[in-house]
Order: sequence, then C-alpha cells, then structure tokens
Amino acid sequence: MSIWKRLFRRELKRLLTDRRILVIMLAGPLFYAFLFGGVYWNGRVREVPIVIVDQDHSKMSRDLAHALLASENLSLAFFGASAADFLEAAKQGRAYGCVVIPKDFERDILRGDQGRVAVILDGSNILIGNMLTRSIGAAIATYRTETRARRLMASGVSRARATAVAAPIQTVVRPLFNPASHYSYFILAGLVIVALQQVIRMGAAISLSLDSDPANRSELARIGGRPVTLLTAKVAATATLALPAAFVAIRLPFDLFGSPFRGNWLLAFAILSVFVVTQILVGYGVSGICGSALLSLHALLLFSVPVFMLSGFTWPSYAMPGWLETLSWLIPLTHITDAFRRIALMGAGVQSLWPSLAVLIAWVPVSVLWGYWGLKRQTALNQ
Amino acid sequence: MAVLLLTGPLAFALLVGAVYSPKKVTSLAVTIVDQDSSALSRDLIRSLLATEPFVLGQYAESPEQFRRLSAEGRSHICFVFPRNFERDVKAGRGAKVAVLVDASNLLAANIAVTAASTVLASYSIGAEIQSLQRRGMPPAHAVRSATPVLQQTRSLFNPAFNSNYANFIVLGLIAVSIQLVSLLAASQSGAREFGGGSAELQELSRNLFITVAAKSAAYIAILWPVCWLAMHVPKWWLGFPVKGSEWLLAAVILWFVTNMVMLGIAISTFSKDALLASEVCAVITMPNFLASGFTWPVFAMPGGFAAIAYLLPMNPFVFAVRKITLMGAGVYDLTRELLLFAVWSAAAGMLALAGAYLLRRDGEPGKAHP
Repeated sequence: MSIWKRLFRRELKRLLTDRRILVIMLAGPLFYAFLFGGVYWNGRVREVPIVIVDQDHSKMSRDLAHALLASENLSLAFFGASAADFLEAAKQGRAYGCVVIPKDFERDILRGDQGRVAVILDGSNILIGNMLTRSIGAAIATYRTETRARRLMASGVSRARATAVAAPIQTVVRPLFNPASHYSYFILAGLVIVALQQVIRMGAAISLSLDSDPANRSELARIGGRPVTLLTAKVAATATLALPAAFVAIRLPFDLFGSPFRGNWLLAFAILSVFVVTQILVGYGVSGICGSALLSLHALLLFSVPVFMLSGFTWPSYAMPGWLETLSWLIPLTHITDAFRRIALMGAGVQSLWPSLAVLIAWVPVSVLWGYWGLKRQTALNQ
Repeated sequence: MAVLLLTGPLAFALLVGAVYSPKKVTSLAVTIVDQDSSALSRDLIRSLLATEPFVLGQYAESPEQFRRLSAEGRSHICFVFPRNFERDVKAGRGAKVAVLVDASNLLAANIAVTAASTVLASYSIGAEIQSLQRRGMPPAHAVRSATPVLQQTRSLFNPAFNSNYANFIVLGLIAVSIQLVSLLAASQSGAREFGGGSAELQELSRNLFITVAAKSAAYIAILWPVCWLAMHVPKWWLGFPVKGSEWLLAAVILWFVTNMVMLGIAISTFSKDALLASEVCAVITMPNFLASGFTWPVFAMPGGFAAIAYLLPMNPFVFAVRKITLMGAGVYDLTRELLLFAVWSAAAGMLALAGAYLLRRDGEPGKAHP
C-alpha cells in the first residue's frame, strides 16, 4: 500500500472515530441548517400588530381602518384612545406601529380640505419598521387615490378617467429574483455557508493540532512520506467527510425550506467544493499559528462574527468605509455567499460570477501554502 | 486569557463601529430605460438621481439589460419610462413608471424601493397639482384637492431608522462578543480548581458557594468594565443615542456578564476538558444572535422556535439594551427581560454549584482540566 493511501486511511479512521471532530464536521452543518431554517420558516414578517386610534368614529375613518387591516402584513393590536397608548405598548413589544385618524377627518375631506392621518412607527427594528412604512403607506396611498377619484366621479367624471387623473404617474414596482421579498430566501443559504465555514475550519484545526503530540508525530515519521503527501492525504480524507455533509446542508434551504434555486447545481457544488477544500487548508493554517487545538478553537470563534460582518452578506460591502470594503473583498466568505445568492436567486452562470470565482480560485494557492506551513509546523516533518 | 478578557470586546466594538460607520446604504447604481426621451421623463430622472441613495449606473435600451447588470452586481434598481409617458401624463390618462429592483439583498432593495416610491409619489402629486392650477384652480385649493388624505409619519425611538442601520444592529453585535468572551473565559477556569482538588482553593474555603461566588466575582470585576466600555464605543464614536438611564444600562450589562460567567463555570465543571467546554460555548454562542429575535422578530418564528428564542440567554440582554438605549425604557418596561435574567441567574448559579460539587466529590485527575 502506498504511503499516501496509508496516510489517507489513517486520517479517515481518526476522523470517523474521534467523536468530537465527527460531531463538529458532520452534525454541525445539519444542526445549523435545521436551526436557521426553522427560525426563518415563515419567510416573511406578516401580521405585525398595530394600534389604531380612531378619534373621528366616522364611516370614512372606519373605511380607512378596514383598508389598513385588509393588508396581510398588518394586524390589530387594539383600538387605542390616544397615541400615548401606543407608546406603552411599543415599549412592551405589544405593537410596532400606530395610525391616528383625528377628529373631523371625514368632515375635512367632504369639505374639500385635507384629512390628516398620523402614522407613528417603532423604528428600533429596521426590518419591521421598513415593512410597516411600506404597508401602511401603500394602504393610505390607495385610500387617498380612491378618495380623490370618488370626488372626481361625484363631479361627473367617468371612473377610468377619475382614476387616471387621481394618480397621473403610477409606480409599478417589480422585485426581481425575490418577488415576494422573502427574508429566508435572502439569508438562509448564506447562513448555512457561514456555519459550514466555521465547523470545517474548527474540525480541520483540531485534527491537525492532534498530530502535534509526540505519539502522533512518531507515528507519522514511521509511516514516512513528504509533508506534501501527508497534506494531500489529510485534505482528501477530510474532504471525503466534509463535502457530502456540506452538499446535504446546502440543499436543505432549497429542498426542505422552500427557497428557490434557479441556477445550475453542478456549478454550485463545484464552487462549494473549492470553498470547502480551502477552508480545510485555512483550518490547518490557523492550527499552525495557534499551536494547540484549544487556542485554534478560540481564535476561530472570536473571528467568526467579524468575518461574517465583513463578508457583506447583510450589510453590503459597498456601504462600508473604503479600507473595510477592500478587506471585505479579500475574504473568501464574501465571494462564496455572493456567488451562491446569485446562482440560487438569479440563476447566474460563470460569466456573471467570474470576479467572485477569480478571488475564490486565488485563495487556493494561498490556502495551500498556509496549510502546508501549518502542517509542517505541527507535525515537525522534515525537521 | 488576559488578552481575551481585556481586548476581545473592545476590538470587536471598534470593528463593528467601523463597518457600520457610514450608517446608511448609499451609491445604489441605477439603470435608466428612457423610451420616451421627453422633457418630463428627463426631469423625473434628474429628481430620482438627486435622491441620496441613488447614483447613475447607466442608460439602457431595454429592461432585459438590467437583469444582466444586476446579476453581475453592477446595478440595483431600474426605472423604465415607457414611450408616450409625457403625452399620457399631460392628457390626464395616467402613465406608468416600471421600477425593477434587485431583491436578492432585501436590505438594499428596501432602501431603494422606499426612496423611489417617495420620489415618484411626490412627483405624481406635483404633476396633478400643476394640472389643476393650469385649469385655473388656486394653488392652495389644488394642493388640498390633489392630496385629500395627508399622511404624516413619525418614527419613534430611531427617528432616521431607514437611513441609520447602525442604531439598529451595532449593540446587538457587540452583545455577541460580550457573551462569547464571558463564556469562553469562565469556561476555561472552573474544573481545574474544583476537580481533583486544588489544595490552594480548598485551603481558602471549603464552602462551595463562597468559592463559586468568589471566582465569578473575579471574572466579573475584569469583564464588566471592559464590556461597559465596549457598549459605549458606538456612543462616543458614532453618536449612538443612550436615551435611558446609564445606571440601568450598566446594571443590565453587569447582570448579563454575571449570568454568562456562572454559565461558563457550569459548562467547565461538566466538561471533560477545556476543549470540550469551548466547543459547548461555541454551540451556544453561534446561533444565539440570529435566533434571539434581535433581527428576525420572535413573533414571526414558528411556535417552537419562538419558545427557544425566549429561552436563549442572549434574548433578554439584547432587548433590554435596545429598550434602554433607543426607547429610554425604565425598570417597569423591562419586566419580561428582568424576569428572564432572574431565571437565568438561578439556573446558571445552580448548575455552577452542582457541577463544582460533583467535581469535588467525584474529582479524579482524568476528569480535571489539563
């Protein structure tokens, strides 16, 4: 049996028998995929509770309240007496928005004056605030147009003409790639990739750190072979375990949680494979720097959130200060999450993805050199 | 360990502050498809491009080009002005502007759609007012007639919420680092001294309650000021508002750090070694922020996951911090959060004591930390 095969079998056996690494690399991706999938299961924020303060108690104010509550995004928390009721409810998390229809609302409109509606929002959660702004704004805009059209129709104008005059410029918004604005479509696959990066790096770093103890060093010296042989055997064995786990985990958001996938799975798997291999090598590199498994784990944990933030996955890279935008562009997570989102939601092909692919491919030699250095340092081969 | 304790949260706070320092998303590249090429469409395009989040990407012949541009990340929103746009508006027939938006990043898409809708709605009302004035209606009457219902929106707690993402997210992210550092630091310390019996520790006190309390206090004495400083980096650097009581904020940070230190000690006493303790901390910390309801609201989660969200140690902390800083909430408004804190204190304290007791009773060299 060749030295490479012996090293490969040794590594595979250790990965399969070390419960710690096995749990991290096999169960980790699936656990996080299920957890995040469950959290974002509903996909959209619906039925956000709002307070309606109807101080007019007229037919028109009731019509407006009905129009608001007809939106699937809004639900009634309670009818309040004043805006102060909302303030208390907002602090207790019972309501997120308030619509105040003041006294004489109907009388003002019927007289040809403006009926005023006050909208008060809890802006502390942008996600909810944005959704309320759009939903309440749309309901009131529709009501405004209808009111204007009714006035015109009352003066003898036809319905079609009245509608056109009431809204001379109509905006038709068409969200491409994520038509229903599902939050889960936007975030889920990226989160699974973040979890994959973390568990693969952790598993690889722990595995290499174990090779640094004297008994394992002696065993490796007995088997023989050059560091590059050991590196390829270790990477191949780790990838044999990590790749199927990664493929299953990344399919879950699409197959189980309903995210659309419009691209080519072969391309997606190819890119993911490159990413997984580079992350194994990065794990070795981190182990080389940190020395012990414990320190490697701490370093990876402490860097996980900053790397996620810098990846531009939620807060776009182009909105960061220049130097951080450059840093963001240099890290592989930025490009794998971006490429995956484009493949899945936009059906993008290689032609559209080449800048991201170029960075991911550039990381291959970098990670090989880094991993090789880490492996030589930890195993003391050739010393 | 000292490096982790002293620099971890501060370094993290500085990085988070830097990432979100622009506070808003700008420079969204716009594609314009102007099939009308009229004075009105050009005027409307000028208004759109004068709006803050937008910059001109390029003019295109057809909307199909936008699909390609957005797939390549070169454009985020596209406005299509159809042929005869100006003629239809002037004839009072109503004209449509199509807005195509790349919704693959919802954050950028929300900002783009909100800005576009505001400009187009204002322009539409302006066009109607002008039309009414041309027909001889007095300006004030024209305004009232064109906008029979006037909406006045006021955002509480984060007035510029749509253009200040930093206020919304930064403190939550710093809370992640506080949790991670507190748990990791405490999880490395405990068992080595309870298990197998550190002679020095046993000489000092045989009372486990005193021992656990003293160990926790030592960690808290270092962590609390550092975490308090980390939480104030956004205030000093980004002008982040702290509307509520500084004392209450400091107390909440203290309580959370205390809970996490006790939980860390408990994890350490139940783990075979420091590596396993760290792994348990990783499992607890990694999903905490996303599953705590801080960004994705708890009421939008399925029932079981909503219950889990409330049970996560991060949940009461991030909500208490948000309520104090943005809403100016007082103790009365934090009833739920403080109750959850108390539950966590009881649970983590009892677990730490039980773990320390079991380790002291069954302590064996193999079970103690290396």
